[in-house]
Amino acid sequence: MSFLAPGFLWLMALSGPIVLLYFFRQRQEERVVPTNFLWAQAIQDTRTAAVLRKFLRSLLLLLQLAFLALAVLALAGATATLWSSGSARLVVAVLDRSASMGIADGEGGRTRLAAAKEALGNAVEGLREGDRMMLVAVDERPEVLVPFTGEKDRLRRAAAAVEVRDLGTDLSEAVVLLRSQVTAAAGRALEVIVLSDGAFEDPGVLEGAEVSFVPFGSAADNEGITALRVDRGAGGGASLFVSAESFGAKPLSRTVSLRRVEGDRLIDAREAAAPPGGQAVLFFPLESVEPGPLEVRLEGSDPFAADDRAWCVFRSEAPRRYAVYGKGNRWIRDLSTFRPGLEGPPEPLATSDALRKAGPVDLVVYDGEVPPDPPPSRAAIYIRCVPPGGPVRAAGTVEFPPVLDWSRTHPVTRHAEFSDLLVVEALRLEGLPPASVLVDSPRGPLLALHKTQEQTALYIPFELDRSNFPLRLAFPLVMANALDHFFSESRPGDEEDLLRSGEPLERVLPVGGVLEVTPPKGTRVSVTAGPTGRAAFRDTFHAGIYRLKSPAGPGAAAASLLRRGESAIAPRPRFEAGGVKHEARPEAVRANVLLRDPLLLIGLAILSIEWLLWVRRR
Amino acid sequence: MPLLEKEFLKRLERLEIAARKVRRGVRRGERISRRRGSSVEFADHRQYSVGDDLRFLDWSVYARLDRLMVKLFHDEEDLAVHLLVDTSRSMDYGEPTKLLYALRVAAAIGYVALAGQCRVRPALLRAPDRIESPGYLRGMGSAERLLGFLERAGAEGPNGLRDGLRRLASEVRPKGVVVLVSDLMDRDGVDAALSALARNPGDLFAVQVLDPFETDPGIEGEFRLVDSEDGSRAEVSVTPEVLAAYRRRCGAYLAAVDGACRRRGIRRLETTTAVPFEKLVLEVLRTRGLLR
Repeated sequence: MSFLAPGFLWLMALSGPIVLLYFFRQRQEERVVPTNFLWAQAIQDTRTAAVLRKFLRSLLLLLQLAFLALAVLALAGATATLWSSGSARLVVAVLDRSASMGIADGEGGRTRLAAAKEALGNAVEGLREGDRMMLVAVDERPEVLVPFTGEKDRLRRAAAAVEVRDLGTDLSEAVVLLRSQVTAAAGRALEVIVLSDGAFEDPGVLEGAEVSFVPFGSAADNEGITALRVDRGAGGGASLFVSAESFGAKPLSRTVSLRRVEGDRLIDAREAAAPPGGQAVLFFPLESVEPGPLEVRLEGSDPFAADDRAWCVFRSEAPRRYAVYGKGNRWIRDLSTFRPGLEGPPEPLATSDALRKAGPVDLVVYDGEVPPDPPPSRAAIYIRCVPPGGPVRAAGTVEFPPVLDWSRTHPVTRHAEFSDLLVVEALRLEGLPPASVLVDSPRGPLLALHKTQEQTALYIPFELDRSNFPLRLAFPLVMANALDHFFSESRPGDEEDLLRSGEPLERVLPVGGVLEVTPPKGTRVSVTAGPTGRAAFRDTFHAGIYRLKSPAGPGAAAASLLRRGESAIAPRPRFEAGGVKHEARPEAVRANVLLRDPLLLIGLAILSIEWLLWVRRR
Repeated sequence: MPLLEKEFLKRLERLEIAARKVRRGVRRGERISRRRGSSVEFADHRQYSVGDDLRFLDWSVYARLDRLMVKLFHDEEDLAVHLLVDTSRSMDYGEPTKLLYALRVAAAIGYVALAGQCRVRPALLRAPDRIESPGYLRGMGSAERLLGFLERAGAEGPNGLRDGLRRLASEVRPKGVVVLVSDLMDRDGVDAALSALARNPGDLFAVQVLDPFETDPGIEGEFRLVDSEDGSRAEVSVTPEVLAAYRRRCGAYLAAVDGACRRRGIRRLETTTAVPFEKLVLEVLRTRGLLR
């Protein structure tokens, strides 16, 4: 038997006063007799009868104590364990703490997580001597909160400390963990209780365990912001892309507002409308918006508030700079023709001194040659040349290399056609990993994008004038794609506009520099930059604005939920694991039955009997 | 208040101690001894033999039968009466108390004995083996001493019957009439005490004085019964069943005491303080052969 409110058990102390009152009430008369040994013998003669008589005489007292005990047990929420399994059990409780578990659609406005915790509490109470339970909290990754133990208090405390995180649900890693536990169980049956609303994809097959799915939640209709992005136009302008979706049977018809976080000032508002299950896409121009933290809000209310708000930190982008080194050619002279907003010298730089004097650049195009000491740059395009001392080497030349194949999905070669590419002569490149080859020929790569820690480089191993590449549509596409690809990545010191909650928040700092992060919920945390000069804060579990303080000054970062899987809040009656359907089994955690009602009924019966006895004795 | 009223004392003077066994006394008294002596009460004849006092020859017999016969007379002796009173705390119970009743019984018997020229030795049996006694009293002049001694007696201590009687038997070894007045209530039994009493050669009487509560408590309910002698407590729920069991136990105990007395030649007289004292002395003691 266990108790929901064991604090009430202190009331059992009332039995003391009851017994005392009973015996005080009995008025035992003291009487001096010449000798009492004959009485002792008489008592001995009637001992058996006396026991029965005492019992009958004490019946009222016994009934009172019984009623008190029953009342206290009822108040304390006594529950009885109904487990009937004979052998000791190994139970893994998987508690979902993803964002959708924060929906308050339970009885009395309880959140799904609160209901899951209560169910987990029942399962813990149902543990018997020898049973062991492991508690695993899961969002997008599993976390073992308590390894296998029979300590109920420890399990209860760990469960009570679990909080909702603004993350999605992914059980695939949890299943890997569970598989290892099945192996470790060494033949013993492993019970897995999944306490979740079921908003997750098939995590993979889980054999050797008895899986019980205990679903929570009732609300199904929801609208939420599923995508948010700052699009920076080629000309430097920016706009905010917002996607709002309807989940469920109701159409979407809500106002999406853009607000400045400081002061909650409204900047702009648009109407979002979509049919049931549809999507509404909105753009907020940011040209006239001052940099700083912004909030996008889906006005109105629905059961899931976490996806009704999203945040970003809008920053003005510094212009990207480039330089062309070498003799130059007519096709690559002004890169801003491929991507507006780029700045660079109008003429190619013929010497390495001129290249150095050009100052820091983001991109260098090496046309036919590379100086012995090239300046550092995050991106480079090598046209019929390779950097000295690098892993990529030129091993001679090849003539008329035919195009064998090209990547149709890589961002750089996307939408480009290479089947009619003709090259008179090309360098035979070696040292490139196969994955970096974008256009291949039997004699070597014809286009490659190689990424290292220091640099992202596009290799064009042939002279443009000795090919038909500049005359093909693929050329401007590749150039534009490559420039977008180069500059879509942040430069050292660049800051992201927004994160999805759970993604690490990184800043480039001097080695040993300290980044202070104040999350939307919680207290300030200090992170020290490592040898690479990067300070990473990974506990971005909650959506909102993260206030930052670093040697460079104060700043901010934004994290948002932005997960379609979580926004689809309708509880699932089952989930699939490796194609095996696991139906909902709420009874898996109903090991204990609340005894309050039967206890109260028995107590009333006892009161009735006592009343009858009292009336008869009077 | 005196133990015995004057009117009652006068009535006692008409009684005398009836001893079945007549023992040699130390002084001549009113008792007729079996010893043929020189009193005037004729007892028997016997053949004359040389040396007999010629004064006791019965000449009338010689005249009729021509035979020399000597007249024999009863010798008169005084009789010792030992009055043993149990003064344990169990005697201090009831209204009147058993002790008062016992003292009055002893006083009455003693007075009768003094009036009959017997030697009277009252004794109070105290625990553990102490005997309080003024010694032998003789003659009516000692009546006041006897009554005064008994009037001053109070109950104290536990039951000292067995040890007191043993000591009495070894030191005094009383002859004559020995009267023990006690409730004869002892959780260890009274066999040992009665055996000690039976070691005395005289006529042995045991007057067992009980309170009516002891034979028929007539109570019901929750009681903590405190033993008057050792203070022990017994918590008893007195119900009709327990009461019946008590009566059975009490009857069995008294029967056992009676049997023990019979086996030892002790004449036992059981009474309760509810029996009027005068009736006990003037009727019961006479019918039971202690007085006549």
